[in-house]
Amino acid sequence: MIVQSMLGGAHIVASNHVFNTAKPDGLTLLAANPNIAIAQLIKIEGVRFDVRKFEWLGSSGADGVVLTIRSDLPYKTFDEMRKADRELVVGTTGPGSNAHDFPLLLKEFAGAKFKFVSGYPANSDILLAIERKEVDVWAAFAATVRPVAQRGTVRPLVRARVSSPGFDDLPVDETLTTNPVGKALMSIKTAPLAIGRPLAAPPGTPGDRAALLREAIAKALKDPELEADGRKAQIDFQHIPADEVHKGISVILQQTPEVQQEMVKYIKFGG
Amino acid sequence: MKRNRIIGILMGLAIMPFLLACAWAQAPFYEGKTITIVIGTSSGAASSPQGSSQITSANTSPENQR
Repeated sequence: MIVQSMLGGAHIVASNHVFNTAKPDGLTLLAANPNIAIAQLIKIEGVRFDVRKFEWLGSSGADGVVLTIRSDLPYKTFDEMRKADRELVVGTTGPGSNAHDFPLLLKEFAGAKFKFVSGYPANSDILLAIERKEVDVWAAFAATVRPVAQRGTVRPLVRARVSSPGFDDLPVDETLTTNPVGKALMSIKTAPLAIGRPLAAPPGTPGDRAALLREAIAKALKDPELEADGRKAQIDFQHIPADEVHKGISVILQQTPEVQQEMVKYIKFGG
Repeated sequence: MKRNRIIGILMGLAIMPFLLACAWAQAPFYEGKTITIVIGTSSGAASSPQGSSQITSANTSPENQR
């Protein structure tokens, strides 16, 4: 088994490759980021796939997003942070990523004073910048944030509606704004999180092989060894069947033109 | 991002034995084959962005089935 990194366009390059170039023989899979459905919805240039036509194989579980600040900063709550006497620097990989879009919507609709520094190659680079005190704010998947928060490097302040163990008590972003457009956009951004970490095969993959892969993924997620590895890595695995992934993806695409227009204003893809 | 890659690796390694077990009952399509999981993130700052990591390419023998 080979894991091949293919960077660019907040997962769009990897998704394009698997959709258009990879042989549909059941030997090349995409570890998809469901945010690509939003890229398709708002017609991002460079999207060369139709998320409804991937052979979705199931997901290893939902994962929320958590916004954190550097733990040496004095703000203990989102409200305190909102009243900061200066702009706080948010480190992000780029538009389209959770690291970027989650704080962006808090800035636009919940009064957070954020200044964005985009272009970090990976979360690990943002964390280095936090340790150097160049960056104040960082958002990422809960599973990514958890060990960093436990080390005391960052303090979690806000989460998305999809919860994750250890972060249940944090305020949900949608409750921090009274703006209906803001609430709607935050809600739509939650939909990919509920799908979590899906795997997909290219369109045209023979049905029997897709079925084998779906069955293997379902069984693997009940495997005690994988569960033990997950516990060690502090990752919660839960099986989300392929039909639910497909349904969730389809729901993301069913937005009114008005909502799509608002999304285009605020949500970009790049990096 | 690194954790996404870890998840990819864990999932990939975990599905192989079950894939083989399932496949064996029908047709041994996956015997001796390598599955590539494409992921849109890097393994971290210090790594080559285009780098790939060969975890195992030879664990598809019948002895490794569970």
